[in-house]
Amino acid sequence: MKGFVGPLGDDIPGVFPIVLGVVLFVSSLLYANNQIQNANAQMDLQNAGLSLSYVVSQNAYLTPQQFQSYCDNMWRPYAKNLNLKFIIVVKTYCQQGVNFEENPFRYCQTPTNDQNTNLAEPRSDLKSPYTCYSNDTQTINLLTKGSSGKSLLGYTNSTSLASALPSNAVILSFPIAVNCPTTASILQNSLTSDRCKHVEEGSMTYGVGTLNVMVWR
Amino acid sequence: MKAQAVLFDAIMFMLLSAVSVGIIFSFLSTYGRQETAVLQSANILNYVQGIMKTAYFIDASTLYNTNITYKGGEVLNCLDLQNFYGVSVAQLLKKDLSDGVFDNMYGNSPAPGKKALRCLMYEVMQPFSQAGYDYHVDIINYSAVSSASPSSYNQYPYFETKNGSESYLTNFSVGFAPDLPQYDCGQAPDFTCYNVTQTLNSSSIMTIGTPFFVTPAGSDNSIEYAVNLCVWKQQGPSSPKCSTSHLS
Repeated sequence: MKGFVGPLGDDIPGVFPIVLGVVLFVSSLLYANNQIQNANAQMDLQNAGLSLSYVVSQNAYLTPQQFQSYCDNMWRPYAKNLNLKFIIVVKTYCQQGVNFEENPFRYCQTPTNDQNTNLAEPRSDLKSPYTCYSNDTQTINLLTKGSSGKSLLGYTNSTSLASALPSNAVILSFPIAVNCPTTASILQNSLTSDRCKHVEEGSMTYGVGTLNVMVWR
Repeated sequence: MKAQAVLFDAIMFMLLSAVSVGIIFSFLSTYGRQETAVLQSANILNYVQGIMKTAYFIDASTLYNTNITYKGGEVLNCLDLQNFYGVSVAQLLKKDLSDGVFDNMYGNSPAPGKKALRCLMYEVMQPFSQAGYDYHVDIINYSAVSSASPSSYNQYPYFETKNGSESYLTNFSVGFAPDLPQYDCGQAPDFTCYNVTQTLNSSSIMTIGTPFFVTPAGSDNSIEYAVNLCVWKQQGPSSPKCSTSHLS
C-alpha cells in the first residue's frame, strides 16, 4: 500500500495521454472535415464554371448584339440555376499578340504610354463592349469600384488583379475571334502606341481574342 | 503496478490516435486529386476545341506581328502573312493542302497555310506553354490512312510542331516512314501525336482531332484531312528534343 494515493489517484498519470490522444484525434477529424468541405466546394465551383464556359464558348465569334442576347437569355439564367456569380468579358489582342499576363478584363492591350494605367477610373475604352455579369451588388461593385477602391479595369496585369478578386474565384479563358482594325491600316498609320482606340466593332477583320469567364460564389 | 498499467494503456491509446491521425492526413493529401485532374482535362479539351473553331474566323493577316523564337535562337517570322488580308487561317490551310503538298504554296502561288497555322498555334497555345505544357500539331491525310494499319498512321503527317519553352519540330515529308523517333527529332523528324503517345507517359496526354475536307481544283473528290493536336505536361529532360532545321 506504500505510495497508494487512492483509487483515482493512481490513474491520474494515465489521464494526460488519454486526453491528449482524444484531443488530437477529434481536432484532426474536425480539420479534415473542414478541408474536405472546402475542397468539395472548390471542385463544385470549378465544375459549375466549366459548365458555364461550355455554354459560353459554343461560338467562335459573336457580334455585340448576339453576345448581349446570349447574356440575357442564356448565360444569366444558367448561372442563376447554378447559383453562380460571374463576369464574362471578351478581350482583344488582334495584331499585338497574346499576352496572358495582361488584365483579362480590359478589352484591348494596355498601351505602353498609358498614363492612367493604375487609376481607379481607367479610360472608358478599356471596358469591353462584350461584358456580361450577374446582377448582384458584389459583382457590380467589382466592375465599378471594388473594396480597394479600384474597378477590375484599374489593374494593369493579372498578378496585381488577383488581390481584387473574390478569394475563391475561378477564371477560365478560351480563344475567340474578335473584330480588329485591318492590318493594312495599322501598317500604314503606324498605330503602335495605342490601338485601343482603333478597335472597330463592325470590322470584318477578325483577330485573336480571349473569352474570359470568372465565376465565384 | 496498477498505475503503470494505466499509463501503458493511455500511451497505447495515444499512439493509436496518432496512427489514425496519420491515416486521416494521408487521405487528405490525395483527396480531390483525380477530380481536379478530370476538370483540368475537360477545360483543356474545351480550349482546344475553341482553337479549331476560331481558325475558321481569324484573319491570317492579323498574325503578321508574331515572331517565334525557338531553341537555338532560330526565329520564325510571320510578317509575310500581312499580305493575306481577308483570308482566314483555315482558308489558307485548305488552299495550301489542295495541291496535295503542304508547302506554303498552291502550285506556284504563295499560300502560306502551314505558316499561318503555325503562327496561330503559337499565339493561342501560349497559356499552355506558360503553364508547363508541351503541345504538338500534325495534319493527317485520313483518306490515305483509312485502310492502313494503325502502325502506318505516322507515315502521313503533313505538319507538326511542338512548342514548349525549348523545342520545336517539323516534318513536311509525305509518305516518309522513318523509324519511330525517340528523343532526337532532328534525326527522325517524322513525329506525330500518334507516337507522342507511344514515347511519352501517356497518362498525361490529351489529343483532339478535327476533321476537314479539301477539294482539289478540277476534282470532284474531296480529301479528308484532320488536324490533330496533342497536349501533355512537360516531362523535363525526357521530353522530345527537336530539330529546327525545317522551319518555314
